[in-house]
Formats: sequence, structure tokens, C-alpha cells
Amino acid sequence: MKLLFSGPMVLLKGLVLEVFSQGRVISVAHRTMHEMAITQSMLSILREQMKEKGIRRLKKVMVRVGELTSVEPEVLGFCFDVCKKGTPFEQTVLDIERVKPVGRCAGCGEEFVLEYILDVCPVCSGVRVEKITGDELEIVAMEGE
Amino acid sequence: MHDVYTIKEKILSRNAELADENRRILKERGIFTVNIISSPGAGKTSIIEKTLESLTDRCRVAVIEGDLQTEIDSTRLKRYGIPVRQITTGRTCHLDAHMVHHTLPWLMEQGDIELLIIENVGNMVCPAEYDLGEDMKVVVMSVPEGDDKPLKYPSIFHASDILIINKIDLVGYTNFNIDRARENALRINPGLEVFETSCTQGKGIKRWCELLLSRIPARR
Ligand SMILES: Nc1nc2c(ncn2[C@@H]2O[C@H](COP(=O)(O)OP(=O)(O)OP(=O)(O)O)[C@@H](O)[C@H]2O)c(=O)[nH]1
Ligand SMILES: [Mg+2]
Ligand SMILES: [Zn+2]
Repeated sequence: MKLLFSGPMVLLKGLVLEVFSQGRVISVAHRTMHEMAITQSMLSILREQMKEKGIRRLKKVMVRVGELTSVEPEVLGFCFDVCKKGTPFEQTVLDIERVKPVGRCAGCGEEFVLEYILDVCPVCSGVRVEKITGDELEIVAMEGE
Repeated sequence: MHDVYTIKEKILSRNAELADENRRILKERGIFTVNIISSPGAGKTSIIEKTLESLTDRCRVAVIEGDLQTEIDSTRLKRYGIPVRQITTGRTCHLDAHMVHHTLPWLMEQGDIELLIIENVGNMVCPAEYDLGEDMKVVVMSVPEGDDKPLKYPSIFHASDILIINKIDLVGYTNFNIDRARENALRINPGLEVFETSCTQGKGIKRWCELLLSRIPARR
């Protein structure tokens, strides 16, 4: 069986069953439902913003997703594509930027990528590390006319 | 010509606003609200049952019960003669502020409630991101799940105010180490207040109930 796709592959049967990525199952129905809920929230914000800004056609929307959130960008992209069918967003491209978690050492001020939430400072081994990015789940820009 | 609009709006901003609205309404009524989160089967409903056994004649409690399917848990709790409202989420893996908002008119008809306990859908990941308007988030982990749970699911331990380690009666049957569990949780969130309970033996429930009573605004 050939499962080595570069993007998400989806089995649709009424509801989303599983999403494969590079041959690896990354999500089951319940996880996908989480991104579905996030997508719905996103669409309602986009609708309001378009009305407010007088945008008639939305070409592109840019979002940032922190790696510490429970949102899987590939699954979010897939959910967006499913939800936009038959809506004014049919032609809209979703551009997702992943944000690495970064911590700042309270001791020496060093900023470094957190591979794990409990990582210590690579410079001074300080354990008091303040998380400065990684929790993002936000819309940052819209492109339209 | 395309225009680019820079905005900065959290995707869950609507949930956050509605949660604040819920919090305001509940506070106005003098209701203290608790949101209980755990993986499926850690003992949320059992802890609520024990809490009701001890508290129903001492304060007025209501429960909102979140489950994917069935009213099994709310039926269990209705036996205590208190107002229980079931929310079945279908396929959604968490409660959100909107679902809770819709139960508020019902809640307001239940007389002078002082304590609202919300049992979230059994799931350790997604509910961590949804504020419901509660005053206190409680994460429950149980002995059979292993004492490294806080290290594997840090988000919910980070977001919570209280940790309940449940099923401590089972410690002897596993390699679970309570001190290590506590230590792991406190590494993720040094501010956690930790309780150890056994619902089968009734251990630790008294201290937990005293904490709840002490947080009710009218009794402070
Ligand atoms: N030994 C032991 N069993 C317990 C304890 N607390 C709960 N259980 C058992 O664990 C099982 C699950 O308990 P529930 O209270 O239904 O768990 P829950 O977290 O509400 O489960 P969901 O709502 O399905 O997520 C039941 O069989 C309980 O009797 C405990 O302290 N010790
Ligand atoms: Mg339950
Ligand atoms: Zn340092």
C-alpha cells in the first residue's frame, strides 16, 4: 500500500477519519475535530474582519501557530480546505507560519529554542526560563480586494 | 490591486471574551466555578460524587457535565438531588465558553447556587486551551496513568491551579511514586496546589471539600 504522500491524505466517509502525513498517521477523528473547531472560529473572525474592512474577495490569510498549542498545522490546513467549499472563501489561500517555542533565561538573558518545556539555559544552565513564544494561535494578516 | 491588512487577532479571542462574560455573570451571582479536566476515566465523576456526598448539606452545588456521548455521568450525579445539566458535545473534544454560556439561563433558575462544578470532556489536551469562565482549573491524574504524566502533557498542568492525584489506593499495585508525580507536576507549574485522593476509600476528599468551601465568596 502506498502511503508516502508529501501532504495530508484524507479518508472521507461522512466525517474525517484519519490524516496521513509521510506515511505516518498523525491524527484520528477526534484530533481533527479540534482543528475543525479552530477553523470555525477562524472563519467567523474572517467574516467580521472582511465586513469591517470592506474586503470583497479574500485572497490570502496568514496565521501563526505556535508549536506548544495542540493545533497541527497540516490538519488545520486540511480543515480549512474542507470548510471553505461553497463559501466566499473558496479561493482563499491559508498561509500557516509555525512558531518555534523560545525561552528567555531569567539569569543571563539568553534566548533559545525550547526543544522541551523544561529545557535549561544552554549558556548558564539556569532553570528559570520564561517562555516567550510558542503559544500563538492568531490571524496576523489578510490580503484581499 | 490587492491590499494587505495587518491584524493581530487571536483565533480563540471570541472564546476568551465569552469566558470573561461568563465569569462576570457567575461572579455577580456569588457563584464559585470549578473546571475539572482529566484524561478519560481518571475519576472526575467519582470525585464529584464524593464531593457531593460531603457538601450537599453544607452548600448549594450545581454540576455541568460534559461528555462526547450519553447522559450516564449526569444520571450518576442526579442521585444526589442537585441540579445537573448535561452537555453532549457530539464529536467536539472539549467544552467551550459558548456551550457553558447557553447553560447560564438554566443555572439562574436553580435558586441560590454557591458552587458550580463543570466536568469537562475526558481529554488532557484540548480543554487546556478553552477558558470557560471558571475561577479555578483542576487537573486530575490517576495512579494507573503513571507518575510521568505531567512531563508528557505539560500544557494542562501549566494551565491549572489545582492537581488532584486520584486512585492513590492503587499505588501498591503499580510502580507509581507519589513524590515523583508531585515533583514532576511542580517542575511544570510550581504554583500548583496538590491533593491526593482515593474515591474508593474516601481519602483526601475532606481537605479538597474544605478548599472548595473556603473559596465560596459568601463564606470568605
Ligand atoms: N481504585 C479506584 N478506582 C477509582 C477511583 N476513582 C475512580 N475510580 C474508578 O475509575 C473508573 C472511572 O471513574 P470515573 O469517575 O467515571 O472517571 P471520569 O474521569 O469521570 O471518566 P470520563 O467521564 O469517562 O472521562 C470507575 O470505574 C471508577 O470507579 C479511585 O480513587 N480508586
Ligand atoms: Mg465522567
Ligand atoms: Zn542563562
